[in-house]
Parts: sequence; C-alpha cells; structure tokens
Amino acid sequence: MLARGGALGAVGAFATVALAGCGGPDDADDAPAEPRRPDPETELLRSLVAGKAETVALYSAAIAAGETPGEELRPYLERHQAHLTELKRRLPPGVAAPTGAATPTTATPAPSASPHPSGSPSATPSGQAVSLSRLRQVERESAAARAEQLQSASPALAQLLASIGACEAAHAVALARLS
Amino acid sequence: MTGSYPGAQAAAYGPVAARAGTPSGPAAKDTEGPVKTLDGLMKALAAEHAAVFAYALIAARATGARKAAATAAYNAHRGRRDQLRGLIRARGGTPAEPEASYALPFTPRDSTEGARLAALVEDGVTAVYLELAACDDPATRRTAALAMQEAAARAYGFRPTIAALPGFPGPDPEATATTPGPTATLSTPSTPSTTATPS
Repeated sequence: MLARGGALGAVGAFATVALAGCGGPDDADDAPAEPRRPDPETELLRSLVAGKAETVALYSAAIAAGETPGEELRPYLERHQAHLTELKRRLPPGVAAPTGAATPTTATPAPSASPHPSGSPSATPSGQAVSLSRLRQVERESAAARAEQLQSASPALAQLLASIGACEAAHAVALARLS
Repeated sequence: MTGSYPGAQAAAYGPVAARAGTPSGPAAKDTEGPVKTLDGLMKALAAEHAAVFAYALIAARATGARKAAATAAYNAHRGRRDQLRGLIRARGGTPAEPEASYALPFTPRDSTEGARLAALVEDGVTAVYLELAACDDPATRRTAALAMQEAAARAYGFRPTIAALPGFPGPDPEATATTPGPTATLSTPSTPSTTATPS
C-alpha cells in the first residue's frame, strides 16, 4: 500500500508540472506542440553516421584516385560500410540519417559534417588526393574518438562503438604495411 | 586447477548485444542492461591471466620477430592484468589469482602455431573486453575500448585479417586468414599438456 501511494503521488506531481506548462484551458488544445528535445542517443547516432559516411567517402575517393590499388583498399571500405550499416540500423524509426557524405563515388563530405567533436575525420575537398597517411590518420583519430564516444552511449551502442574502434585501430596498423 | 582460455570465457559470457542475436538493433538496446562493472572487471582479469599464461608458452616456442612480438604481447597483457587488479581493488573487490594452468585450444609447438594461438587469444580477450564496454562506469568503458583496440592490433600482427566488428561473433577469422596453417578447432579445446608458469 505504501508503494502504491508513492506511485500515485508521483503521478499527481507529474500532472501538476504538466499543467503548469499550459497557457490556459482555451488554447491548450490548439497550441503547437513544443519541439521535443532530441534524444541524446539519437543525436550521438546521427553524429556517428555522419562521421562514418565521411570515412566511407574518403576511401571511395582514394580507390577512385587509383594511387593505391583498389583491391587493397576495398576491404577497408567494405568494413567501414558495414559499420555505417550497423550505425544506421540503430537510428529510431522515422529519424533520417544525415545525408550527403556517403555517396561512394565522391569525396565531398556532408555540408553539416562537423558533428563529431572527438576526432572524427575532417572534410577533404573533392578531387584532392587521399594519401595512405591521411587514411591512417583518420583511422587513428576515429579509434581514439570511439573510446570517448562510448562513455555516454547505451550499453549496446557502447559495445558497437568499442568494436568499431578496434577495427579502426587494426586498420591503422594494417595501412602502415601498404605504404 | 585448470582455467579456461579467453576465447572459452568469451563464449560463456558473450557480448551483451550478441546475446540478442545481432550486434545491433533496438532489441539488444532495450532488453540488455549495463554490465556490472566489478563483474566485468573480474572476467577481464581472468582473461588477462589466461592470456599471460598463453603468451608465456608462445614466446618460449617462438623465434625471431615473432618471439619479439610475443614477448611484447606478454608484457602488454601483464600490464593490463595489473591495471585490472588495481581497478578491482579500488571497487572493494579482491582480484582473483591466476589458475595453475589453462585449457588452451592447442599447445603451440613452434613459431607458426604460436602465432595462430596468439591470434585466438587476442580474439578471446577482445570479446571479453567487449562485455566490459557495456558496463555502467564510463571510465571503465574507455579502458575496455582501448584494450580492445590494442588486442585487435596485436591480433593483426599475428594473423593478417581484420574483422569488421571485432569481439562480436562472426565468421571464423582463420577461415580467411592468409597465414598458412591448419584451421584451429575452437569448439573442442584440447586439454593442455603443458603447465608453464607465467610470472
């Protein structure tokens, strides 16, 4: 009984708070809904998707440029694409993935592609050659960022980020053997 | 007493998301809560104990560059082991001591087999840290993520293949490995015939 009373009390407190936000009985139904605060996990995911799409575009540009045989870089690209797929899959229904950076045939990054404050790759102008050292730098920075990004994520997303970071760290080592 | 090698532990514990059947998806997110930090640290310590044991064997049978790599890995795992002991004590826990020996998938007879075993050990350690990455302490998550990165990089040094999602269940990396040698039988680990004593 005591627990039940506590629960009811909580409901009452919530109702009071909710009503306090209304302008009045007349406009309560017509007032436009306040924009909901974006879910932090969703915002993180959108940021991660944008950053990974940039990496995919970078590898695509490197392969297209042909300075390094595409057969050697293609497995790297495919693993990044797998990461991108996994990240996109976690976006809630109805939430659009950031667009503009994942086109496989261009190196142009998304216009808004700076939502990765922890070391994700920066933009590379279209047409600029992508060196192996640049790819290594991106892999190293991305891996380092994962160790920070996972700290505020849900448990399942934290695991995915830890795993993606491990792949990126291995990429950084492996790319050194190509150069 | 004989302990299990890190891969066997990973199979027993499993990553949080993997238990939901897929490395991603709302089901995994909604049905699995965070891993208790102390529990995860204990499991990671057990994996590091086993890794130290395995690398003592691997290094003893390796030569040349592989011996150097195995020795470096041995020291790295000892470092992680000691770090985990400290983290466990800081949370009021008592770090487990290593077992006298560990059941490895096979006992390496030479450098090549040692490299195969090393890659398997790193795979197992990676999977155990993957579970710790889902714990409820952000700093410990970071430690787990960095340990996974080190393990994945070391694994590449011994077996030049890279999984898209290290630590998660996936195709047997040895199936596509370019390193010569017979395929390991992970599901039927043999009883160790060697009882080297790592420090």
